[in-house]
Amino acid sequence: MQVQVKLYGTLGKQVPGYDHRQGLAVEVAEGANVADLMARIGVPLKKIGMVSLDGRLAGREASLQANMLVKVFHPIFGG
Amino acid sequence: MKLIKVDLTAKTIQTEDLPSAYEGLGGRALTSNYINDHVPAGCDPLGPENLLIFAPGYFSGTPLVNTSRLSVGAKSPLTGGIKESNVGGTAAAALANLGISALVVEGQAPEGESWLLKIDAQGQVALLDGADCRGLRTYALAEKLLAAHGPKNNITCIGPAGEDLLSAASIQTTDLDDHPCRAAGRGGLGAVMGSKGLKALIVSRSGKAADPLADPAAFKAAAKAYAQAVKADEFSGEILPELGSACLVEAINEVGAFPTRNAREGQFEDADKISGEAMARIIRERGGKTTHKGCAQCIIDCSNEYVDADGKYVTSSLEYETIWSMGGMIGNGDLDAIARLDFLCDDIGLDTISTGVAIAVAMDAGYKSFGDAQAAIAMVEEVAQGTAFGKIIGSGPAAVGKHFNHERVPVMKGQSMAAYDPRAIQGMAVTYATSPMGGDHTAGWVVDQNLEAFGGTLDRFSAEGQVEASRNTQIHMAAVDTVGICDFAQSGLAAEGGMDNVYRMVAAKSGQPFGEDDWQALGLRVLKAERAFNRRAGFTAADDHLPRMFYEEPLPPHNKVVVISPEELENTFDF
Repeated sequence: MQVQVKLYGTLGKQVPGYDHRQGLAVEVAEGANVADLMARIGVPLKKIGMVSLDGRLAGREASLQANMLVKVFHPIFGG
Repeated sequence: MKLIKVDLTAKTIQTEDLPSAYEGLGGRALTSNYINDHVPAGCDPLGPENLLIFAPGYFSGTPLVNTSRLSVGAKSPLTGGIKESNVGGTAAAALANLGISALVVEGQAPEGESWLLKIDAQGQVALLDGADCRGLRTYALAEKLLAAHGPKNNITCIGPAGEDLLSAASIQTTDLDDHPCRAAGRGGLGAVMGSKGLKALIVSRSGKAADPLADPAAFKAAAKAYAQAVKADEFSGEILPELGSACLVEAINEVGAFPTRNAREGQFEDADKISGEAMARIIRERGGKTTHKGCAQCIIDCSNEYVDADGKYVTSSLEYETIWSMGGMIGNGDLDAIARLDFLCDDIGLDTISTGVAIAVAMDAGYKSFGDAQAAIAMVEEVAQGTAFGKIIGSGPAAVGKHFNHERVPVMKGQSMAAYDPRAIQGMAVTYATSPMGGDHTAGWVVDQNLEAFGGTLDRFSAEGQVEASRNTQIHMAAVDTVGICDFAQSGLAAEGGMDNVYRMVAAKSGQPFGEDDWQALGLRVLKAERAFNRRAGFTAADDHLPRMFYEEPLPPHNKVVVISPEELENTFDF
């Protein structure tokens, strides 16, 4: 199945040729989870602050569904 | 460790050693304790009894990186309580390198007079007639003063909003490019400066009389380790240089905490047009600057220079809070218009947060439509023109709500909240409600605990742990604002051994032992002074509450309200 992936901050640098306006279309196995997807596209989990699946925050083990929009964010700090 | 007192009533200048009661203090601890000790809490904030204090952080003027924070304090005309607003740029380093711990402005010049305060490279202080500067906007003023007094000066000044005594008026200060684009924005301190009759400070950046360090070798060793940690951290070492604080837009919007259209919604449909990623791309395509150094001794370079389609300077630095207040909060997805509004606020001398939220309240009340960027620009221009409505906008969101008899005003102690809706990140409800500053995100930013590690170590929709998190962060931040470390260089604190490095540096500067308990005591001393002042000014437990809208209106898309009760908020501090 395929999912759409958007990488925020400087995470796009982990994926050669990443274009933020396009995002990525990634093929993953049925039953794959967030951690599997990150391993597939080469983004280390330690570089990630949060992930959303179709607008809902999700953990590393959350299962993916076909055509989901997966947004991947860096850790944040601020004020 | 000099304390300079300038009396605008008598036109006298007095330089003395910093009184022993304030030894070891800088920044917010110095401004807040001095105000608590010397300002009658019931005084008119725009009258002669109020004091305006400028104090560099305790580490300003030392070899430590990212210590160019200048605290400005007074009784606030916006909140009626104590205020500390801090700002970067070049002012803190300039004052600290002259050995100046605090500059206290007292009294009041007769109405219509305008004065400049000049401190030269030898530390000589003089009041100069500033009549020919009256009414000038800040960019023209900085250019005129730097041409007249030489380029190696910092200019810290007010624009027309401060001269008009408007309670959303900022104090602007110059960055490393001599643009007056750095703001001590919150609390209307520009109006206090205006009420004194003081238009600008001109402070030499060539001072060589910084306070000595008791143990320079120990200080430098800890400072070096601290700087390495700031560089090594991914957020301060890589993300901030590339995107600046605007990197927060997409993340906060995604979790539904990006207050949109006067906080009627928590997500803005055009967030991707005003995001850090979009901003960085536009700046690069047009030949502007990301990875720009705005403040003295900065090694992060989170600043940027936003340019128009012809590559011409528009503003510096476009940051998260302004992108929110002039973007999502007013329903505006046009980044060029946001940049224009940012420039106008800097030039007129207005807090971008209070002004954006004031516009949002006006739009919410039906004065103009959400998303009408040209109307927003016209409203800000009206402030400079001094029209009746411009004066209302320049007085902040509560004044606008009163004018339209409109109840949906997201302020705490009269000051607007910032770019994190407390219904989607409950801990921010505690900080906004209980900070002695009023609605203020930097006073206790608990967003990370609520979002980190794939969704937060705290449940962001639950009350559990939020009061404690906010309390601890507020105490910690009061100490951070005292030593004057930039918020974004806190990665150096968070690194392994980072706090120990800070304790070592305090000890190495003061010559006195300093540890974890002292850090906690320092933060508490600040908050206790601030809360004591506010109580004397008439604040009660009810002033640590939130407006009803946060309890009564569920925030889409998660449709949550604040679940932390007023009683829990009241119990955040037991002093």
